[in-house]
Amino acid sequence: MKTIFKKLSVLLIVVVLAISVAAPALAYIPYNTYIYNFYGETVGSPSGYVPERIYLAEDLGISSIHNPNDVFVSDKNEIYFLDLGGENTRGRLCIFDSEFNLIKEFKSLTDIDGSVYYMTNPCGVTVDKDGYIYVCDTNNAAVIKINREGQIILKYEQPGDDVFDESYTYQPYKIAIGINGAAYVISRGCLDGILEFDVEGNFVRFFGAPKVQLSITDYISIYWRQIYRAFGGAEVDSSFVTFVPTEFENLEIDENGFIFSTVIANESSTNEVSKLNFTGSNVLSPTTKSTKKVSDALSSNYGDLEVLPDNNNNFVDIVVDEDGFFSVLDTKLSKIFEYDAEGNLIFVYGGAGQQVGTLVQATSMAKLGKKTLVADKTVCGITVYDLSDYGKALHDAVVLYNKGLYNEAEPLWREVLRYNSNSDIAHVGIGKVYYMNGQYKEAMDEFKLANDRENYSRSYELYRKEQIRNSFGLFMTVIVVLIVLALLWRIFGKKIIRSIKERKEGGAQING
Amino acid sequence: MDKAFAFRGTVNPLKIINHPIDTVESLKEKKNGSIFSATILLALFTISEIVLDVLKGFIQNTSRIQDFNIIMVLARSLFMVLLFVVTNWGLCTLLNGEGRMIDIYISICYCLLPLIFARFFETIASNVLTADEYVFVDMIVLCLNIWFVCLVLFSLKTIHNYSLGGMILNAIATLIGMAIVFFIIFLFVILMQQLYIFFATIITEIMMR
Repeated sequence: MKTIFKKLSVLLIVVVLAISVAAPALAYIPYNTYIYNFYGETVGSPSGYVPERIYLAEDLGISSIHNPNDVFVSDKNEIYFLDLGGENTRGRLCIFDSEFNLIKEFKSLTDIDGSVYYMTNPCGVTVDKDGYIYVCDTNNAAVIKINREGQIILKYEQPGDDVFDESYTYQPYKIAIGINGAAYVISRGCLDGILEFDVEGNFVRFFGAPKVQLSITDYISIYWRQIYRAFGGAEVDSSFVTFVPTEFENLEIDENGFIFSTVIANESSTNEVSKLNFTGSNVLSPTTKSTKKVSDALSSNYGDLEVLPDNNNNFVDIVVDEDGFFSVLDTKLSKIFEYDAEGNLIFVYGGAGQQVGTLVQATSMAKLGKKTLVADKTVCGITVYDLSDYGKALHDAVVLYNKGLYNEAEPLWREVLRYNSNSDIAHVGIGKVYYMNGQYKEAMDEFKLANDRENYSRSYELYRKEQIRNSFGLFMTVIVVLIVLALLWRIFGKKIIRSIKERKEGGAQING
Repeated sequence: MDKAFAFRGTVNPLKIINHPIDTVESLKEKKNGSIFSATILLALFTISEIVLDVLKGFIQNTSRIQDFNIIMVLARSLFMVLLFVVTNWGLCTLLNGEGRMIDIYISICYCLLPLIFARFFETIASNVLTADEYVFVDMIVLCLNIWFVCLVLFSLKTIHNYSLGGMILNAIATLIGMAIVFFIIFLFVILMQQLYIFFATIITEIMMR
């Protein structure tokens, strides 16, 4: 009895110690991470990103931050931060190194003719591969190209008179630089698409205007309006909606030259998240994973699937990291949705709130290696999220998988499943390994768990072939035996029946 | 109706597959159909619908077993057939149709045969075939469905002694009638619900006093 008590108390102490040691390691995460399953339902998952810290103005070594409009990370891992922190809330551009140490702060720039130049409400910043900085100086209606000393080299002015209506005010808002040096600019309120400028700053063309998709009720509404006008209804009722293409919200160009873009979503918008090739068509397939009606109603299945009809997703920023994972920032929900290169949702993180890791009015997002930086207007700082162990395993597995190294990715997929057995892409990854190794039955089980019917069908076809081949001998034996029996019956059957009948009659006679 | 009539079936239901008009005519003229075999066919149809919903192969089946709802299955198989029979009888009595409700019921149930084949065939094929091979199954099922519609139209024509145009108009009117009946049932259910809530509230209030 005493020994049992002793053992129990030792166990208790060990457990208490283990808990007290483990507890500080578990950082509190103020949001739930989840993904969507095949049926469009939310399924909880371990956190892929954990909040690291918030950098406020004093941490960054600059005077107070107003309206952080854009944050951008260059190839050399320098952070470019654009806000209205200058005098009289003029634009300010700050450059930090990857450890958030201030390198440079520009409150004013030098114009081409040598005079002082102030930015007015600049909204977008980007850097090309030679280190030149491009700023969308929104209220000055120009895109400026500056070098690292703050000297303006080139101004991308408003395109000539015939491009825009007279009533339209040109407001360059966001910018990205293509691999050939062309600048792609989004202008506020411009419904024609992205503006493309060549290296000399001349306007080339509009690019990738989003299509308007009308529902049946919209068509009825249009015809009704025509009838209304035909019968003398001169002024159009305010309840009639106008159908205009959606406006681009943000863009980013990956290392292969594809333009990732988001639009301001409304009821008739399509391709809220798109990956445009150089001709301006979307190469990102809409996620066909879900069969649920609620997501079919939405034109594309990116972002939150269960948003209310009048409360569209509001993707203010999109970023692509070096491995092809892209994330969109939804400012209304304060959430970040991360997808792999094929458009599979892998994490949803962030949330509304005022804790470290939650967001209030997020405006911009950038990727510093694998870390996510999010600038927030209300918090007036930059929140940094880092990949968790689970996130690292999943990222590494997806990278290997996309390279076609299925066998190398297998232990990583197992690691992912150890954290999260609901991960569909992990089951698909392991299923592919089984499929390659000819274990079709196991592959089928994995694809079934992942609800991947296409791959299931493929492995089932081979499994069925294998089964038929294996049982062919038995099958033929049975058929041959049956044929032989049938022949025998045909020859001797009548005799046997007759003899049985005779025997019965004989028995009856004996009994009688 | 004499009791013997219910089991007096002398016509083979399978005959409707190759001789639909003859079979239905003999049902009508000689009264040699059987309610018993018709009901068995209706039950088989209902079972085939349930079996298809539950046992459809994984590749073709995107709904989960926990989402299976037997009331919905009954509503779209058993209930629909009965509703069709009642509505058609109601309309045809007004529009100079000659058929009695028994005749309509028996012939419609006999006409269900291709559908029963289609459902069981789909269940088996979806478990055996891959996604690429399933196109043929869809085609065969479509043919069986068209056949079912033709059988129903021909038997209605024979039973009510309509012309071709009259038969088609009658079928369309029946479908509209079914929608109206469905709407009335829906209204009735909602009304009953309101009534129930009303009395439940009164009883709770009395009990609380």
